[in-house]
Amino acid sequence: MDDKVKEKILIIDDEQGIRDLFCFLLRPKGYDVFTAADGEEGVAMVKKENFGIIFLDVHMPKLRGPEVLKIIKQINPKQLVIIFSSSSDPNYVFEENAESYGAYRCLYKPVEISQILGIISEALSREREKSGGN
Amino acid sequence: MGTKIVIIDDEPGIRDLLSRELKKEGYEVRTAENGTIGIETVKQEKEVEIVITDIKMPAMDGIEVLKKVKEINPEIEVIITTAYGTIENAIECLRAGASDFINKPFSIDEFSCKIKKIFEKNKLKEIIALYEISKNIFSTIELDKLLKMIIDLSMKVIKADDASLMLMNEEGKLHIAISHRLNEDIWNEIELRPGERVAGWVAEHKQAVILTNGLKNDERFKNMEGIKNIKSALVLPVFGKKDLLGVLNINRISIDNNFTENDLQKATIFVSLAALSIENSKLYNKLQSSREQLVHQSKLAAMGQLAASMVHELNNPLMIIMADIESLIEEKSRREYREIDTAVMQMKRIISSLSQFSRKKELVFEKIKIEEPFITPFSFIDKIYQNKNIRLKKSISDNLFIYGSRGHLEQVFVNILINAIKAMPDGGDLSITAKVIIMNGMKFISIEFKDTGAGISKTDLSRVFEPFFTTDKKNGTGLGLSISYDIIKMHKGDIIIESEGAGKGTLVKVLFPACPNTEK
Repeated sequence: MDDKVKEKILIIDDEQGIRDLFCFLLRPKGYDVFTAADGEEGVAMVKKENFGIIFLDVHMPKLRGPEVLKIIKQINPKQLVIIFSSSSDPNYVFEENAESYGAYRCLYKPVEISQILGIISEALSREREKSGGN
Repeated sequence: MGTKIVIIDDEPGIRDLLSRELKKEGYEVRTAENGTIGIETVKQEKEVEIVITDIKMPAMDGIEVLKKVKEINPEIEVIITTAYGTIENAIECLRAGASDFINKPFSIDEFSCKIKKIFEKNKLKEIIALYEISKNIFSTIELDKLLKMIIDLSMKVIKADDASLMLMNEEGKLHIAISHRLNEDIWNEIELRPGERVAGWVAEHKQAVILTNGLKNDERFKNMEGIKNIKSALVLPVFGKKDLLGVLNINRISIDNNFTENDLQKATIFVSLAALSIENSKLYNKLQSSREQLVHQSKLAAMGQLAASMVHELNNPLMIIMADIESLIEEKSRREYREIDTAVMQMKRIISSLSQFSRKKELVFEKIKIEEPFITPFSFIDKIYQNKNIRLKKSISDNLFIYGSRGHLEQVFVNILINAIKAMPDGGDLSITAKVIIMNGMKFISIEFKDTGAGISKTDLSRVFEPFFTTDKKNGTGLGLSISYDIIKMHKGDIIIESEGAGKGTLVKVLFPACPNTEK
């Protein structure tokens, strides 16, 4: 049995296919994948668990990406959040300034899997360095 | 009244009688005792309208006089008087072009009446001529053709042998838009401010001027240097509905006659017609191009709206397809999966370009030198064109300023340059020039991209700006030129693409209005 702690990853996206995709791709890679179908659900989960990385969609009903990001950062200012945009916002203000709003990075769909995996390991290893290893 | 009548009769009594009576009515009269002297007089006097000639005279008879007068000026009306009122005579005269035929003895009243009728008819002829002119002018829509027609007709209307039309540009300076005698090369070099030279004076004071025998005789212009060869000149302001459009110069160079008040009157009527037709043409052309633009932009706008909603819907499924394909390819490296991968990449590119339509990134206009938006594109393609054996020639004049949004212009230039490079897969020449040109009195910066590549067929040429139209089926999205067109139009510019056909290279001309203090 692998006693290494599985990194927890949360994907907040209103598209079923995207949530399924993350589960399908990341679980075999050894990640513990959680999903939320909208902002409210996502926030509820963040309050209950600690996540290594949160992937956050921008366009969702009820609570939108920017608002969710704000709340998450209030709960845990150090939380690693990667914005995952379907890039149809005419203003792009949020996406282009994602990092200044507290996100680690902003990705635009469609993204190659290798890129997603790459960013996950990069972000997590940076975090580990900061907290002085585990 | 200044109009001239020449009386030719070998009988002094008739000459004196007619001369006296007609002078009483206010007409200017010359007499001659025979045909030869009569013809000489007509030649000299130059503004003769009516010739009254006896039919039976020694040496030259009336019919011959008639024919000779018509040779000098077919517009001169000839009245034949005769004591032998045979019908054959009458018919022969009328056939030869006589306006009327009077039997002696005649009453002076009858005579007066006929003369009056002829002058009325002439006036009517002038009005009809102006009407015909106005019909021609107003049915001509193309500005270039119209301007040429205006100066040709102006020379006809008041019998001149040179004319030029100067138009006011946006800076309030007069430029030659068309000239009969002057070479087109120097039209752009002549620029007058209001008050400068006669044309400038006319523009400033909005008053017409008749000049006879040079400028020294006129108080207002005696200190100006005259132009050799011009014997008489008529300079008129051309008024549009709202303001002064320009100035019309009409000159007599080899005609020795000075312009008269009558000429000025005719010219003034003509000029008001000309002004209307110019505004008409400009309006029509504006309408045409804004209609075309509207059609195109409504297509783009519709696409933009569609794009915005589609992009969001498409990116999610595409993400899923890509992810699944990527993991499937890892397991099986089959041709089908590779094809799907290529197709998915293409879709990604298209959706990415599409999202640019919905991206209404604000244009930020500022005064920039035209070289600035070239810096990034040139360095970007530097690597590309060296590898492909393309010889690049740049000739961008200094001090060319426009109001533009730099980032957007960079996008346009990159698009055009990449199209050129794609058209020359085996190498070729690419030249880029930027300079000032003057069109219809206004300054533009004209940028030309000329390549020696694949060229564009006539059928394709009409579709180049269509969204999704591309000749690069493998890598093109067909959106580059549509977006570039959009950006250029928002800069109030224009883009024209020309090609002689497949294999004959392509010329892309981009025009932007020049900033006012762009030097030549």
